[in-house]
Amino acid sequence: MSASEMNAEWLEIQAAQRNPARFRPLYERYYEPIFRFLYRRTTDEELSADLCSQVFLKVMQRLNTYEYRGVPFSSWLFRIASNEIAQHFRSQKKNRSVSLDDIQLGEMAEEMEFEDNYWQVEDMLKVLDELKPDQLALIELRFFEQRAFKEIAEILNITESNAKVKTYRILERLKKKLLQKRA
Amino acid sequence: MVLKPRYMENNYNFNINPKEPSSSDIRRHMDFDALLNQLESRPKPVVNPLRFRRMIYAIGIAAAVALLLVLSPNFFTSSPLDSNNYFARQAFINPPLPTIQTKENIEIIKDAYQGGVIQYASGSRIVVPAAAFMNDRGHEIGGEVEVHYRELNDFVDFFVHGIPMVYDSTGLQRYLSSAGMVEIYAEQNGQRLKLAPGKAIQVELVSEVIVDDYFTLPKYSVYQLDTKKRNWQYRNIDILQFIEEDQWAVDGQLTPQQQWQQQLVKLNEAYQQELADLQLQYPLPAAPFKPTKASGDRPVLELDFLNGEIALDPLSQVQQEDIERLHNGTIWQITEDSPKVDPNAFKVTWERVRLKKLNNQRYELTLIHSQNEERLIVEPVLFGADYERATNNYQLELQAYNEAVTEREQQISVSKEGLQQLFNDKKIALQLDFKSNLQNHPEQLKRQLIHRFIINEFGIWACGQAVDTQSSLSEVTFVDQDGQPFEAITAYIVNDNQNTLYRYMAEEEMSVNLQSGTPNLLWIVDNEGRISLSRIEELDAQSTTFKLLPVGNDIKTEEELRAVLQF
Repeated sequence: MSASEMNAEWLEIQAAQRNPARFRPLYERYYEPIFRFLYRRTTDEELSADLCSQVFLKVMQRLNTYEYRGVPFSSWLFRIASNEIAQHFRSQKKNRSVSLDDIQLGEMAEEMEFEDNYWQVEDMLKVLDELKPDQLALIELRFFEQRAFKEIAEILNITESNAKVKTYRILERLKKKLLQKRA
Repeated sequence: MVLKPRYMENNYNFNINPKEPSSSDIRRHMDFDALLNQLESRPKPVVNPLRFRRMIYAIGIAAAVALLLVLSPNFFTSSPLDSNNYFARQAFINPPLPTIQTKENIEIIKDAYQGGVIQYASGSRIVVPAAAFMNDRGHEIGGEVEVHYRELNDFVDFFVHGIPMVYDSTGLQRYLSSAGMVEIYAEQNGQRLKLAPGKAIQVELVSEVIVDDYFTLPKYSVYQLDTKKRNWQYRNIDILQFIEEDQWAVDGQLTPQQQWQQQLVKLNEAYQQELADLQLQYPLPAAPFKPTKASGDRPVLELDFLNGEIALDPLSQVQQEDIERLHNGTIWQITEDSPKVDPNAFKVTWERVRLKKLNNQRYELTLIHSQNEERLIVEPVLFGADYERATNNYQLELQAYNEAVTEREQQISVSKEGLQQLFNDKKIALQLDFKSNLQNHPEQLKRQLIHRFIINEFGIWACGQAVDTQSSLSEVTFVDQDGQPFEAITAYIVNDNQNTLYRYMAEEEMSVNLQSGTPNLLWIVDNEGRISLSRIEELDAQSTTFKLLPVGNDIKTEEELRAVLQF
């Protein structure tokens, strides 16, 4: 998103801060991306719809506290959605879902410098399952949703370099565990 | 490779290649109007009398329990101490070394009803409007008022004044990286004053910051330290202006900025010279001379200089071409403001005349005889047919003149565009050269700024930006010289690349913001006010235990503290 687009969006947000009814274009623009973000973590359409309503309600309730800091508005929305997901699964005491496809898993293995026939999906999922929620969130955003480090940093409220460092540390850890399993 | 679609592990449910709903499926769930209704119908607290009575009882019981807890000697030690409640129990602005005296400026507003402007040595200034102050009872104040003003520029200032730099932004903990901070308040007879409703002080705060791009103003916001809510509050955007460098380096050498500015001035001078030379290359054609009709009621002289009837004095100040451009039949009419003419002058045979051109229409004419001179102001005029003929000629000459001027302008314009393009290219090249030079000297990216904002309450105001506080290093322990961990005291960390002050409750295996690629300074102040410190030039990601050594036991002044707390 270019700086001028972000500035234009900031005007829309300011209008919505004065009059909530003016939030409609932002709602229509971001409903689907937020819904998909939630769906990938729930794999339940009705639950995703409920959570999506909650996310947008919270967004509108907190809109007056939103400040423009030169990053896309969507990062703030994804951050609230991420918190909503965490809160939901914590209160339900259920495991949350992680959506991925085999190609992305292969790309992650490639990043760990594994040959195609070297790793097993079962092993990979087992080591992923051992990650802490914040660690898995990084891997998920980077490899399973193919997001840029800059965007990941904005969603997780960390610096871009921190996101990179942490991601590669996690990959190192995963690699070590996979090698141990193989040995 | 065949993948099972779902893996139930211990902590997460992994879904391989899940089918996602279509856009139309998703849009089916959208209902903005319902969301708006939900927003507007949020339940408002309603208290019925019975419930209210119960609330009073409950509050009474809670207060009694709280009192018992507070009076219990174990109250503060028995509850688990985490970083949040550790700082919550402290004063919000909490100078860790209260014995250190710091300086502040005190200026007098002579008459509060009139207001005034106060200029500070730092270059900052404040504008106090008329009738700006009121006392704590809300009465407007006149007479002399003391305005207390202090600039807090760096982490030592934040530390010594106990300024919390934590910024809670919609529930997310961030830190404020300051680009300039100021404390302002006013007193009269030792009593603190408030700003009257609707009154605001304009602040022009001068500060020095490291910018990312020498030519681009950074973006900062203005925040107020709200001591009641114990948080910084966003107030406005910071209106910024660069202060241009005009200082010479101490050793007589020009800084890269000054070199660049000097080169830019030279480039501009050369460009202006080239533009001037270009004008000279294409001389302006001579404009035709508009004929003037004789008035008929003024005396005239017939002086034909061209056929030699009368000699021109060598001291004449007139060009031959001016004479040649005179229309045929030109006679010289004495103007109304000419010195009075002696009627006898017309009887004298004058030997020669001296002509001095005053402008295109007026000449000074001096009639010269061996014993006499007569000075007149005259204008070349024409009579009847001569005037008509000259006017026709003038129209033709004017048309030719306009065409020549247009052609000249077109010729100049083409060359001028080329020169301008060349100038712009050179300017960009100079700028790029300057920027690449700065990359080798990042310290030269320091620039002076004026921050303009208004304050409507006294207190501490900062210009800057909120920075992320996601800890970069976990499981960190600060230990003393004997290897014993510091616990339950305040630990401070400063990175050389951010103008903020991180603070933590010291405990074993804490997560802290230590930056790699930049020096870090870490220290604690123990309960006796002693500082233990460690400097880390280059962070080693493997090290998580840092030994802090005691420094300067008896720090009394800000200067002594600055000598200790330096990278």
